[in-house]
Amino acid sequence: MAGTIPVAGDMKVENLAATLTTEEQLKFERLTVLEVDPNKVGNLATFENEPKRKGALAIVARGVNSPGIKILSPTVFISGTKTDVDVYRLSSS
Amino acid sequence: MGPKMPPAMGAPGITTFKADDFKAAVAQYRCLVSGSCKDAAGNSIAIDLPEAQVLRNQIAYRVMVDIEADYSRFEMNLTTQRAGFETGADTIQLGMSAAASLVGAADVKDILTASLTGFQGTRLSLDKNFFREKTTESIISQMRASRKTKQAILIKSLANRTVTDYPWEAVWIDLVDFYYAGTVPSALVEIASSTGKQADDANKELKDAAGKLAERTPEQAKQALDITAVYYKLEAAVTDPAKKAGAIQSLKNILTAVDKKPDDNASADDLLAQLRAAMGAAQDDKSGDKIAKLSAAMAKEKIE
Repeated sequence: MAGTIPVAGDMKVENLAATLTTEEQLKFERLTVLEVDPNKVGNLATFENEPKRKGALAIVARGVNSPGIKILSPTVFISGTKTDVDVYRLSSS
Repeated sequence: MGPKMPPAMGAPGITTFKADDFKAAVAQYRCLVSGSCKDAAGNSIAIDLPEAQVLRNQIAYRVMVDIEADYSRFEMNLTTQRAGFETGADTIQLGMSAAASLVGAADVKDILTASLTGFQGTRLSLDKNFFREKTTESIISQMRASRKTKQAILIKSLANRTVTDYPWEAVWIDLVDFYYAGTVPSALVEIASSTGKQADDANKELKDAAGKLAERTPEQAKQALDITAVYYKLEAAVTDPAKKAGAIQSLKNILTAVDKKPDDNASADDLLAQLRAAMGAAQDDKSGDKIAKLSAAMAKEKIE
């Protein structure tokens, strides 16, 4: 169900991207906001309902090139450290 | 709009409580409690607490009747004149003064209004935009609920508490509270508190849900992508007469493989809904076993 959910703050970027991707894919949602949880070392991810299939997400350090289209540039906890990142939407094919 | 009030109920002489009468009744109550007064003949008035309690209750109920009668009129006016509130420059203040001006017994109104001064400074600081966002129905609903709560406290206290532990001054505080509960500012404060509580509850739910989203591996993300790819193929296939039967059979096979055996007569839409539910459950499964199982079940199906 669309809404905001907590996401652990100790993941590596690839696992954070995988976590968000599976949430999107299996629940028919689309990531709209990714931010740090102000109350703990963790992140908050907000999703909206998305009936159309979206491609996987990739997360890289801010400014690093990646395939896909950049959709967000948040600051999040990666491996327990606040990190500036870019979130890319990979091809849906 | 509403039915016309019967003349007997509307007669001011029956319900209104003139200030002089009110003050005289309160003075008499104080005499009965203190025993320091003399009657017209110069005789001392003895302390009579049971009589004082009766008098206290009479005064309280008369004030309550005034508040009650005028609240009904205020509520009706609020319903029919909300447009005026919305265009007013100072809507919150208007809500307060409108309520005060509608209290029937003019002098008691003044006394009540004076008592409310203390409330205004602290309780009128609500954002006016907050008021504009609320429907008249929600404001009235809140006023009714608050008034019932306050009135219940009053009636219960009057019935069960003596003048020793519930003196007139305490009754008056509760009466002012009861009166204030029937004003727009009070309703807005209550709604704001309630909204705040809901936000707190929602925040707690969010915290309780911490850890719900399990850490995934890139492999699981790929499985999720594959699963949804199959889902969309199946969704398209059931609309194609040439592929529908095969797609329905695949849906049944997949659901059975993940321990969600469907009814034999389930429609294509039902089967797709069950598959979506299974996909959601797979995402909620921290172990990742359900994603793997669903992915494997789909991989066995040949879907065009």
